[in-house]
Order: sequence, then C-alpha cells, then structure tokens
Amino acid sequence: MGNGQNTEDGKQRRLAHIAGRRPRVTDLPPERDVEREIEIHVAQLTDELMAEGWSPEDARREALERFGDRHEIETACRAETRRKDRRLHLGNVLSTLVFDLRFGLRQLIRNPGLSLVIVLTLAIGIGPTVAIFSAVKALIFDPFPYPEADRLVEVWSDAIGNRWGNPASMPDYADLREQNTTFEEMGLYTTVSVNFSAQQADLINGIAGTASLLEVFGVQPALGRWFTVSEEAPGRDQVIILTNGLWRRRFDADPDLIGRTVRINGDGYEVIGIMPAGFEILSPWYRGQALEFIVPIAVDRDESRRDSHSWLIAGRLLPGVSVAAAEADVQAIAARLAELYPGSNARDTFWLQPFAQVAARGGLQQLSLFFYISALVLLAACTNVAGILLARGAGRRSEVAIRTSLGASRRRIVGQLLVESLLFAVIAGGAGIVLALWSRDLLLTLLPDTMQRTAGIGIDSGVLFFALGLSVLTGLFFGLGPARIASRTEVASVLREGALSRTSGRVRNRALRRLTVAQLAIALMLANGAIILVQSRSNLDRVPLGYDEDEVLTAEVWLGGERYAEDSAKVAFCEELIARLEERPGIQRAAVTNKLPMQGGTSCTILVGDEVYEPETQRSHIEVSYVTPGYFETLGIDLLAGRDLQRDDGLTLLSDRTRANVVVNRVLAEGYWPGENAIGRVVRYNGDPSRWSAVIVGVVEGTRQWGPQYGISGEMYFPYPFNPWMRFQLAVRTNGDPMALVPEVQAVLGDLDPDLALSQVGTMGDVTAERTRNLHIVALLVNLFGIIALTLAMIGVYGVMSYSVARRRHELGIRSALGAGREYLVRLVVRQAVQLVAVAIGLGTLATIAGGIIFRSLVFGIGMLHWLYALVGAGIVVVLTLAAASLPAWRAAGVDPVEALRTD
Amino acid sequence: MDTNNGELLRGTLDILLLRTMSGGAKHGYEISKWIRHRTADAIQVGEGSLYPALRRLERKGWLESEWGLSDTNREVKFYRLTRSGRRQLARQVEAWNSYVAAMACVLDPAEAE
Repeated sequence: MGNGQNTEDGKQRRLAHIAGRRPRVTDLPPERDVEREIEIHVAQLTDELMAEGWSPEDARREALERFGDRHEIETACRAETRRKDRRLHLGNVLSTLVFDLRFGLRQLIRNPGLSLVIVLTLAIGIGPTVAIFSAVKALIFDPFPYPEADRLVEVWSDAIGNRWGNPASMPDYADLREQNTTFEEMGLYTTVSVNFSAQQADLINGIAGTASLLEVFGVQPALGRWFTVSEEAPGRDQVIILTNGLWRRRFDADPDLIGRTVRINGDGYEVIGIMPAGFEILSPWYRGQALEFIVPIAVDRDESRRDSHSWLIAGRLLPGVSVAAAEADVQAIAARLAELYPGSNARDTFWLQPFAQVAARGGLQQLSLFFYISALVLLAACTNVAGILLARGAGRRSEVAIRTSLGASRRRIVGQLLVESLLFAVIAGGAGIVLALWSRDLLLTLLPDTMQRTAGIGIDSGVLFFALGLSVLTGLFFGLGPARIASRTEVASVLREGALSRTSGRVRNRALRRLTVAQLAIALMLANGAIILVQSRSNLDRVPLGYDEDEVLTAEVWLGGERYAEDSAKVAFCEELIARLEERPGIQRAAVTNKLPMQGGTSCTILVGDEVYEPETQRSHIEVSYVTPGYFETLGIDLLAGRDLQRDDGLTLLSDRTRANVVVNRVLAEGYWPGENAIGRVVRYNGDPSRWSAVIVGVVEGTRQWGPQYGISGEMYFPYPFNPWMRFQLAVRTNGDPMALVPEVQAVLGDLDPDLALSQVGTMGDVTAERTRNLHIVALLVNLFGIIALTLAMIGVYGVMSYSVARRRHELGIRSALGAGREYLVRLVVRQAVQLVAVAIGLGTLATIAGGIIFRSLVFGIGMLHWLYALVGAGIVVVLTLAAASLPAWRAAGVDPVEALRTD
Repeated sequence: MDTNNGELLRGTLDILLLRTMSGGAKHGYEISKWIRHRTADAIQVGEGSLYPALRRLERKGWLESEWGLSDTNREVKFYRLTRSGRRQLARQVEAWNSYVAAMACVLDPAEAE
C-alpha cells in the first residue's frame, strides 16, 4: 500500500483526536473477527480441495483437519488481540495527553500577548507564596539540630497570667530541676559575648551554661568532651567547647586544638571539645549573631538571688510527656515556691514554650501575615486569569461547538481546556520559582533578625514539590470553572449564524460577575490595609521619642575576664574611657549605660510614701537604668527639674547599695506626684526587706523604652556604680557623621585594653529604627501587594466590562436607534459596574475587619478599620472601577446603531 | 531443521510471514498457500497456527490488516507490512544470513580434518 494512504490514515486519526474519539483499528468485535476469518479460510481450502476432485464432505473434513484445533487457535488469537488492545488503550491516553499538550502549546503561542499576561499574573501570585513557604519550611518544618527536638522546651518565669518570656532565677532553677517529675533533664544558661583574642580583639557570642545541657541538647561533641559538673566551680571553670563553625573559622579546623589554651577576655581557657557540624545553639536571646561556644556556669543557690531573674532554662521532656502535662508539673512547683518564698515568688509561675517557637521568635506573626497577603494576591491573580479564560471561552465557542459535533464528549472538552490551564499554571510555577530564587535575599532582610536558622532558607526539593503542587492546584482552581462553562456550549445555537446562546451566556456572565466582585473585594481589603499602614507609619514618625538621635554613635562593649571581675574595676574602666573619649576633637560628650532608650526590659517595682510591701499587690513596673554623668546630655534628653547625676553620687555605691541618689523620668514623677515637685522624694525597693531607698535629685523627659508604638513607662536612672554590668552600652555625641568616628573610638578602646572590641556599632538612629523595622517592612509589603492586587482587579474589571458590553452590543444598538443618547448608554453599562462595586465593598469591609482583628498589633495610632480611611479606600476602588468600566462602555455606545444591528 | 525448537520456530515463522507480504498485501489463505508452495512442503506449519502469529506481528506493529474483497470475490482480511515491519524483515534476513554463513563455515567438510 502506498504512502498516500498512510497520510490519509494519519489525517483520519488526527480528525478522530480533534473530535475526541478513540481511534479504532477494525470495526468488528474481535471474537467475530477471528471466527469469520477462520471460517473463510476453511471455506477457501475446501473449495481448493474440491477443485482437486474431493467430494464436498471429504473436502470439508480434510480442510478442518489441516487447519488444526480451531478452538485453540481462536483462543490464542483473542489473547493476542486483548494484549494489543491493552497497549492501545494506554497509548491512547498518553497520545491524547500529548495531543492536548501540543494543542494547548499552540493555543498559547498563537496568542503570545495574552499568554504572557496570564503567565506573569500567575507568577506574581505563585512566586511570593513559594518564597514564603520556603521560609516557613526552613524555620518550622525542617528538623532541628537536636535529636527528638519536639521534646525540648524553654522554661519561663512570668507573673501569673503573663506569658512575656521573663527569665528565671538560679534558686528557682535548682528547685525545678530537683522537684520535677516530667523532665528528663534541665539546663540553665545565658548568652554571653567574649573578647576572643587569637590575633586581634574580636567579640564572639556564645552561652554560659550548666553541664546538664549536654543531656538537654542530646548532642555529644564530635571531638574531645563536654565539661563535667565539677568544672562548674570557679577556678576550674576555664574550659570552653567550640561549635564547628567557630573551630573552622578561627582555628582552620585544627584537630590538635583540644587541650590547647585560647585567650578569652585576657584569660586562658582550655579547649575541651568541638561540637559536630550542623549543631546550632538556639536561644530566645539570639540577636542576629550565631552563638558559637559554651563555657560552664556555676549555679548559685543563695536565697538573696531568688528574685534575680536573668537566666534561661532549657529542658528536655521525658518521652511521651506532653507540654501541657509538664507545664502542670512546673506550675505545681511554682505554687509551692510561692508559699515558701512569698517575698520573691508570690506572684510568679512557670510556663513552657516549645523550641520551635523559640527559634522563630518574633517572626511567626510576620511570616503568617506575608503568607496571607501573598495568598490573597494569588487569589486575585487566579480570579483574574479565570476571568480572562471565561471571556476567551466565549471567543472559542465555535471551536468547542465543532468539536462537540464531531463527537467529543463534554468530559473530553473540559479535559482539553484544563490541560491548557495546567500548562499556563506550570509555566507560571516555573517563573514563580525563579522569582522566589531572586527574592531570597530580600526575604532574609524582611525577617526580624531574632529569627534563627534563616541560613536554611532556599529552594530545595520540598519547596519545588510545593511549587509544583501549588501550580497544579492553581491551574485547577482557575481553569475548572471556565472549562466547565465553555464546554456547556450548545452546538445548534452556535452553528446557527453565531447567535448567542442564552443559557451559556448567562452562566458565564454570572460567573464573571462573581469573579469581579471577589477581585474587587480583595483589592479593597489590600487598599484599605495599605492606607492604614501608611497612616500608621506617619503616626509613628511623628511620635516624640524624648531624645535626640542625630549625631550619636552607639556601641556595645563586654568587660569580661578576671581583670574586670570587681565592680570597681568596671567603673574605673568606664570613667577612664569616657575621659579619654571626651578629650578627642569631634566628640562632644560620651556616656556609659546598661541600656539605651528603646532597649527596655530591666525593671523593678517600687514603694513610695507610706506604701508597704504586700506580696499579692501588683505594682507597675519601673524601668531601671544605670548611667554615668553626662548621659542625658549625650542623648539629648531634656532635664526638666533638679540636677543631673554626678560622679559623687556614685562614689559610695560600690560599698553601700542601700541608699542612692536617682534621676526619674517625667512619667514616673507625674504618675506618683501629679502636679507636685518630685525632687527630694524617696522611693523604696518593693520587697521585704526593702533592699534600698533612693532620693530623687532630678526629673528628665521620658524616653520610649520599647518603640514609638508603645507608651512610656516610668523610669529610674541610678548612678552607674550602683550595678555595673559586664556588658555596657557606649553613647558618643559627635560634631559630625557619627560613623566616621568609629575607628577613633575603637582605637581609644584598644589603647585601654587591646583585648576589647566594639560590637553592635551604629547610630542612635539605627537603634530607633530597629524597633519600628518590622512595622515599616509590613507597611511596605502591604502597599506593594495592594498596588499589585488593585492593578489586577482593574484589569479584571476592564476585561469583564469589555466582554459584557460586547454581549450587549445588539441591545445597545437598538436603544441607540430608538434615540438613546450616548451618555445614557454609558450610564446603563456603568450602573452594572456600580452594582458589582457595592457588593464588593460590603464583602471587602467584612474581610478587612476580620484581618484587622488578627493583625491588630501591626498598626499604630489607628484602628485597622478607620471610617475615614475605609471611605478613602472604597473611594479609590470605586473611581478606578468606574474608569475601567467607562472606557468599554463609551466605545460601545459610540458605535453606529446600524452597524451594531447588522453584524449581530 | 529442528522444528521442535519453539524459539527457532517462532523466529522462522515470523521471518517467513513477513517475507510473504513483502510483495504486497495478502489474505490468510494466500499466505498459507504461498508458504506451502515456496518451501515445497519442507516446513510443516499447521494452517491454523498462522492466525495467532499474524495477530502477534500486528500487535508488534509490523503488520496492518483491513477487510477487503479477494480475487474470488470473497470478503477476506488483508495483511500488509508496515514501515517498521519492512525494517524488521530486513534486519531478520540479515541476521538469518549471517547465522547461516556462520553455520556453513563450521560445518564445511573442507575445514574438518
């Protein structure tokens, strides 16, 4: 047979594909096919034998004889046919899919502009969602660097009813560890920074903890050993365990380092162990810098330290114990301690936080907000694409009708259209992954730096799988509806001169209207959020901070080591440092404090007048700072009454801390003595016995302790010698660019002690900005996504109105012919858009209220739903919608009525 | 020829059938007649065993079939080689020839001592 017939055959098969029919090889059922063929063969043989002279009966018998076992042959034939059919069926499914894909690809290429719009729209939705998922996966779902990490918890010691994350005291830890029945082990630790001098001073962060942390973490050192309980004692505690990262970075992974001595804070420490690669110390006090070593700490059970809450407790639960059960256990212990030590523990209890939450601290709410926003944008993108496909489906009605009339089932047509949608979605998913790869660094800067394990964020197989799944779901989501509606086309009505099918048109129109309402509602929600966050931000920028952040350099210094063990040594060092700095040109004033404004968190409660200590009474927390003279001048904090602290105020404090002179802020003064002079008043420590009393010598303006979005607490400033911390904050007021003076300040520090280094170097402006960073990032993202969603919605409205106007051309033509003016016609069309907008505003407002309740803490100085801004948001949406609707309306109304009536 | 060897028989039957149709489409009876004639009855193939073999070759895509009218005006099923069937025949003929040549070498009495 010739080639011509082959191509003819191929053409037929392709036609069968287009019609959606399964191609058949033969038209007879296989059983009958075989029987007939055999019957004919026997008949032919019989004829031949008869021609040779056999009698008919003999010929027939001989023919059957020569043919062989007929039944067996038939069975063998049928078996072969069945095997062929099976293969043909699978081949059919595959070839149908390949065909659909090729057909879809052709459709996609035929209209490159539209395809690009669809793919980009979807990619804008998929990309951010994938990027944020990659962060969620790395931070929450990926395994922690400890075996059975779900048994690890942080133990906090807060006032009953609070879950602020207050650290614990050493005696409380000792009692908890002895009395609990639900923990396998507990360890006490705190974060420390040391001046690590191998070649030059360098500040390294790590933890000081108990030997029991080994069982808590459950990870053995890869080299050397962990320290023992006996090494927790002073004198024997100069041993250090390094993480793999520090060992590689500073010691080139030298395997002989074990047993050698390194200089830390000027003292010698023996390296006894190296942790394995991948081990990471997670801590709620992480501040963006890896914790890279462990040194021993001694637990001091002295009762006077029971209200000194400065220690973290990590615990490993016994296998099978739930967090709730363990919490009940530690709270029962807390109740006993409250009875035994009412002076310190009456109002306190313990609570537990799983490690997964500790490591993602500060970022979970933000991540979930990002996730919701990107999901909203994805939803907007989906509805937009669904709208485009619906409208395009209308244009492809004749194609669908022809295929239906050629015998394609509805299922087959839906399948074909879905394959096209999935093709779009998967291409967009690929683009989304590229987008997510690009935005990784951006995402990292957007996350708060208290979040740990961010290095693990990236595109791995899990994320790829998520992206693929998301793309397929997206494709089904936006493709199924339009495909089902498109497949409803009634053949007769389409083929009849292109007249519009009423039913399918109505269904399509209703679906389009709903999509538009959904889009507008999403856009309104994001527009509203954007406006509110802009307002919230400008509110924040207008908040008086109470200090002058310009031209102030800030840095942190750790006075570790034996040299500075005595408080007098710390004070002497600070005084010398300040004196030398102030000699320098370019430096106006310098001061030392335990914490700068915006670094709140050290507080106590006080008694005034004739108040006495009552364990049950909740008194307001007063922030406590320890500052050197000149602190207020350095930071530009106004002195309102009395005088600044002087060197003399601190002199006696090193030996006697029961009496002190203090400066208080305006909030404290006005809170306790409204309208009266606070100078000369006495405040006392709220405890029994009262540890100290203080005389107020000055009142200063209040500074924000937590950020502009929070109120100002009362604050007391003690002279620095009252409690010199190992870590202090240095503030330097300069005559110009503060950062230009960093080398000079470092040089002065190095002259005093070459083992010391500056860390957290920045300006006071940076310290302020850090507090509002998250709010600004959220505002930026919501604005950006709001604009995207609004643009998508406007494109959607424009498309829907164009389609709807095209459908009404005939009607508008008649109206025009009957004398309706152009403006009347435009109003007629726009009225439809107004109805959609009205419904959308209702829904969008409800959604905004719901969203506002969830994310209340992210705005400042304004409710999430402020009537004025809601009105502005709605106004923007209405104006843009009307604009998007008017253009097609105006164009349609301008069409010559004769023309409109003729073409229809 | 050891016709008891199933594998060899199947291969032989395949090549025979494919060769039968290299001249053009044939129906089942024609095929069996042709084999009988060309092998001078040296290969005894049960007439009926043709049909499962034809179907197997069809499944492999080497043959196509179609109902049509015979010279004697009977409705019969015609089998013809597909393009891949033609290629398969060429391959099998080549393999067969080299096999025969190899066997001939081994069995050549001149070589035997």
